Amino acid sequence: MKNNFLPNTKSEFLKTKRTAAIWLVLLAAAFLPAINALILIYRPDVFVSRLHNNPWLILFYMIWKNGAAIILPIFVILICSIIVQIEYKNNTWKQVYASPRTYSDIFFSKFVIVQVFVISFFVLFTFFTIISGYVVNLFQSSYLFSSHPFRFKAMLIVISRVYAGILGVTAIQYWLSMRFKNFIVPLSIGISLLIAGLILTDWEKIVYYPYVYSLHLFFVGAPGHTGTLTLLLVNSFTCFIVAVFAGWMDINNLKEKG
Amino acid sequence: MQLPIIQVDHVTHRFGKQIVLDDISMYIPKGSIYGFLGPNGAGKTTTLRLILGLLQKQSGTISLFGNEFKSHRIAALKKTGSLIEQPSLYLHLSAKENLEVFRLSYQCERKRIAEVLDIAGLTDAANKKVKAFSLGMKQRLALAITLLHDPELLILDEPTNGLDPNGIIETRDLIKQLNTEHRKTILVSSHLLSEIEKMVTDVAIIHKGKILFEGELQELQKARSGHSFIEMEVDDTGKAMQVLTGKFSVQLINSKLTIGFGNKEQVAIINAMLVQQEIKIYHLTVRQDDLENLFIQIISG
Repeated sequence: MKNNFLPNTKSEFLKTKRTAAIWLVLLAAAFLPAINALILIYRPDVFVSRLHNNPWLILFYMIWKNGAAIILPIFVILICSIIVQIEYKNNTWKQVYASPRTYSDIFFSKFVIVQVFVISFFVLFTFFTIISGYVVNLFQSSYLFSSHPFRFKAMLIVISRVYAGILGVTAIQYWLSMRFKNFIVPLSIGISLLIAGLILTDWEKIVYYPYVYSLHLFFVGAPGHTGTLTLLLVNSFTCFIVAVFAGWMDINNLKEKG
Repeated sequence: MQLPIIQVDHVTHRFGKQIVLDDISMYIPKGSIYGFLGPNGAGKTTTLRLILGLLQKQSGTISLFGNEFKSHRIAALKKTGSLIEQPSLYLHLSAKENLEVFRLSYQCERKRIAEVLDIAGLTDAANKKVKAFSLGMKQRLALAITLLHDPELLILDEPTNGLDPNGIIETRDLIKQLNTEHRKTILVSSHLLSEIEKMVTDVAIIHKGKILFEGELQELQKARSGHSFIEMEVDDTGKAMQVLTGKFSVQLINSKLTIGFGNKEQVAIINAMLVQQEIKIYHLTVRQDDLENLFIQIISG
């Protein structure tokens, strides 16, 4: 597995060429920065004063608030489905399983691709956030983005927490996408669980509900917020490890492959 | 006896309560083109999927290259190329990119891509997206993928399925060429005996999950030599049947007489007997029972 894992991961990456995965990551990452840029451009009367002291960080929080709660989990649900569906749609699972690859190699090389796309989302999301700040300044010079430094360290801390919060969902959705041929199944399970989590967000046991970990890790420390950073991180990593292991065991033991 | 490349011993497989393979055994000799015949739903694909480990074996043993498959899966698959049911191709990628996907997995040299494209006659279509390919081209590309790592064994499930007559001939020629020029052992399944008999050296016939015949093609051909008959159109079929019954096996099918015979002298005798009785013969055709009929006879017990 050690020798083949890298070429096989490269092979998995090649399969995503010209698929909707590339467009999805671009659109999902650009959506909120674009919407927020429009809001700032059209309502300087409201926002110039609000963003006066620390424009980059406030813009970053404005955009990430909805990103961590909705856009990121939906993106993860969709990307897992799209990447695994490449095999189902083309009827290629049987060829993959009939090639000299261990079952672990097949499972993890594709999962690495999911993680690459999720990380790409974070990078592009940050990039588009910065672009949106400059674009806003082009149309409304009263904003102070050009004259304030980026707060990279603060942004990086938040991004890392949100990424840690979404890991469990990537593992669960990847497992579901591998398990069910019909893409509607993982999609509807994922979106239902996300909506349920958003409805139950004030519930004291929500710290045990993976689909809102990214949201809670974004807001951690805010007044009236449920759960400590340590508890949420431990729960999130535990969920990730359990879901990856359970998914791997389950897919390994499927009686019919391909 | 040739060394077996694949050996299937007493394999039984169930889907729920339904038995789809009932204690089957097969022996695929090295260097052979082994035709695996059976009507749709007989258990061919299930057998091939079990051989490739795509289905979890329930009972019996399956060995490839002399080793039990389960414990030597990777080593066996390194020496095996397979095409199961329809071609497994990434339609959004070009032919070359499809080959690159599998080349990375097989870890073979990049030059193999051009070589197998050439063998499959797809060099000119290398950069064309597979979704624009005809079924015949897809089938050839799938065959090219099976050849990428220069395997010793090819497992091809109905490789001519859905192809036009020209595509069937091309695929058949390619299979024969791979066997004779590239020394591949080939296990090829089909539901068409007429197709298989043109290329195989060995045959197994499966029906309702049971192997009904296994042996060299010549053995099967010998079995048909006693199955020749005359087809006759006469003016009075009732009278003709009266004359011939008791001496020959006679059947009336679609207002034509079908009369079994053992040698060509008997054809002359049958003709003379009818002429003597002033029965007019409008048409007489000597037919040898083809393998297709024999196949139907075997599977219908």
